Amino acid sequence: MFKARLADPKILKYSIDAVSNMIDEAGVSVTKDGLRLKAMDPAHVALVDLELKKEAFDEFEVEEPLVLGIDLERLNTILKRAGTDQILIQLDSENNVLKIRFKNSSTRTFDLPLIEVSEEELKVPNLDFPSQIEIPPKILSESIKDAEIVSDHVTLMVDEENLFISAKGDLGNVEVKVPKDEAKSFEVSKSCRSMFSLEYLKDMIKASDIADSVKIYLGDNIPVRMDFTTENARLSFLLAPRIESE
Amino acid sequence: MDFLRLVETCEKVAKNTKKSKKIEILSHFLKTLEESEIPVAVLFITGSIFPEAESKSLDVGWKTIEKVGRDHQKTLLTTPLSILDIGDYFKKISSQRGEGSRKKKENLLQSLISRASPLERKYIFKSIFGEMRIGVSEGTMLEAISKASYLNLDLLRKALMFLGDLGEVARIALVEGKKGLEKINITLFIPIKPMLAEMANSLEEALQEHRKCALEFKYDGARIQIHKKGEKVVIFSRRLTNVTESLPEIVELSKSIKTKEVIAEGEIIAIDKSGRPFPFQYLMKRFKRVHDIERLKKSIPLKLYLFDILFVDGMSLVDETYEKRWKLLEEICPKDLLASRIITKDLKEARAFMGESIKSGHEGLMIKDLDSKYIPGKRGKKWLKVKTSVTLDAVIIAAEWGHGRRKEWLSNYHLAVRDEETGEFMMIGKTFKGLNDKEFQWMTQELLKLKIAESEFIITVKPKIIVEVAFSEIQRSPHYSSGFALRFARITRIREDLSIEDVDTLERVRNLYENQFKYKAKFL
Repeated sequence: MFKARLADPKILKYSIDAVSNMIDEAGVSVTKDGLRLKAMDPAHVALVDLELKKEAFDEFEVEEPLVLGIDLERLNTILKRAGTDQILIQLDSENNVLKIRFKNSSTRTFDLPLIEVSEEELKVPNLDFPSQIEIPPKILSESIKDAEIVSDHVTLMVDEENLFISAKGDLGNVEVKVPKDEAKSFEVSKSCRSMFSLEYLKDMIKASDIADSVKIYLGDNIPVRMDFTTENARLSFLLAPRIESE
Repeated sequence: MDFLRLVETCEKVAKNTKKSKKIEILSHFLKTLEESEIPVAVLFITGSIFPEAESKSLDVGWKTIEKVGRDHQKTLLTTPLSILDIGDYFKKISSQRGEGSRKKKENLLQSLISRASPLERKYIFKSIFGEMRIGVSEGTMLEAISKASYLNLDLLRKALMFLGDLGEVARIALVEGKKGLEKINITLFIPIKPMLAEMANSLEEALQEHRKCALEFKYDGARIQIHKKGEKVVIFSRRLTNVTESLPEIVELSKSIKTKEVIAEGEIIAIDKSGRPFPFQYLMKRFKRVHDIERLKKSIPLKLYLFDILFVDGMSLVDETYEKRWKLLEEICPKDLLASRIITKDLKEARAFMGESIKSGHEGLMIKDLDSKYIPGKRGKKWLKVKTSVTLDAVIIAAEWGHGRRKEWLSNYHLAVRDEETGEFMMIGKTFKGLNDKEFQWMTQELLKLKIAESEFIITVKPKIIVEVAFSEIQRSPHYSSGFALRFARITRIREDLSIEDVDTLERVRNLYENQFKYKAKFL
């Protein structure tokens, strides 16, 4: 048995939208503490770790821990239809579907068939990040959108004073400078830089609209970790770098 | 096991030119594999990515590879690639469909390449381009499997013909042994490799080959395999591709076969309003089409001629004689679906029948031994074909840009035959004759998709496009790798219905060369 209710669908909508393009299908584990989705994209470039605590829901009931095999692309298209309606989620284990109900003046019910997912063990590298910067998510998402105008990749760089988000393209360059004072926290043990594909980042920043802050863990030519957090939810990404040529 | 071990084995095999040594290395390697690794490894080493019977492909072009080669995206994983990883990547790449799939394929390939060491990369590219070139043909691999499993080569060969999956045959041989292999038999809805005919030098010679023989029209069409169970019909092409959707009227016709279950073989031809066959190229249009079939059904109607039956109501017929198989076929099929056929050993009668075939717009005759069993995938003398002229099925391995009017086209084609020992393609001549403007255009477009390398005038392509070539004579030649050259070669048709192992062998060229004076005397 599992059922949950969300008066405001936003948090679920945005977080699924941020991951469904990278990860087609995944096992979502449901425990008494909430929902957890941890998966790598098929190309092994990005790792997603989504945690929705039970407190994020208005109602949350589960008898015993279970794993739901979800086609995230399907789920995303369904959630896009939610509008601002309240969402009810219920497992129909007899028919192996997840019932997703949108409630307003009418009640709309979608059946999402559950799928088989192979639970492969994620071999995630252990990383030491020399820099950790926490900024308002809006700054990050705007910079990424700026970079998209000129290139398909972006460089993240920090020194003792600033965070730089820059992109170089055939048609021009862009650089966004975020001074230390604008950051909520700024721990930089040494200046470092890494380059990343915008193809992945542009999906990740979709989480910006629901998060209160984003913490960026950066190093030299190593993956970047980005934690988008609110009080009751955390969406964390690990993204492998591109190696700069020349 | 690490993928690196596999490519190191490939290197070792490539360096040892002696076949027996290759087999020894391979057989030793096979024994060290885990069960689940066997199919992937065996297919990879023999230069195929998916089993033949599965008609799957990666569908990534040269452009994608080039792009991926330039990119520098890393992955999160630091573990070395395993043999199973390779199989997973290939499966995932081929299964991407629909919107955004191109990009996803690219990302997957990118990921694979970025995790590979230089040597692994070299072999991944070789495999994708179908250019393994380590001298391991299907036959060599079968011998290695035989050596590793202590099982009879003929048993392995037969299993392969029924399964169409060398990797799976290896797995069964090494894990389940003889019992497992013996269980493999003809199965409904799994295509089997067709039995093939050898080209006879003359009608006279062909008639003397067998004790009793049947003569059938050799239709200028495409061979198909019909699998039927009740209302369910699946049609496979000669290359074992599922072509059911392109041929709705053949599906309907197949339902008129009386038994509940059947596997039958036949030839389909395209005909005009008066019932005369259209050239082969029109027929190919029907085969490839999945859209607009209703319209094409009207403009290019098809006719079916059945000539063999391999399975009826749960019973395999491959070990029955051709005489018995035909009798059964006659009993259960409407008469107008059967191939034109006579039984004779008389040369005069045979010549008249040959004349009838040519006059009706067909290619010649098939002469079949009535006592013969059906041996899948085998080309032999039990079936012989007689045509009015001798042709070779050659593969294009490179092409040159044309001059003058043909400046925009790749118009001079380098033709090659297959060295049956090593599986490599050996050049045997060039030609720019035989195609019309439209075909030149098509050819240029297709060859560019297969480009592997290029210089100012010549592009080298993945051997894939097969053409039927007519010629006046075969000469010894020091210029070409085959050691032979075709004189006055001319393309007579593009054989989209053939697959790469149907390309004629160097052995056949050698035989033709030795035979040709005999021929010439006959034809001149």
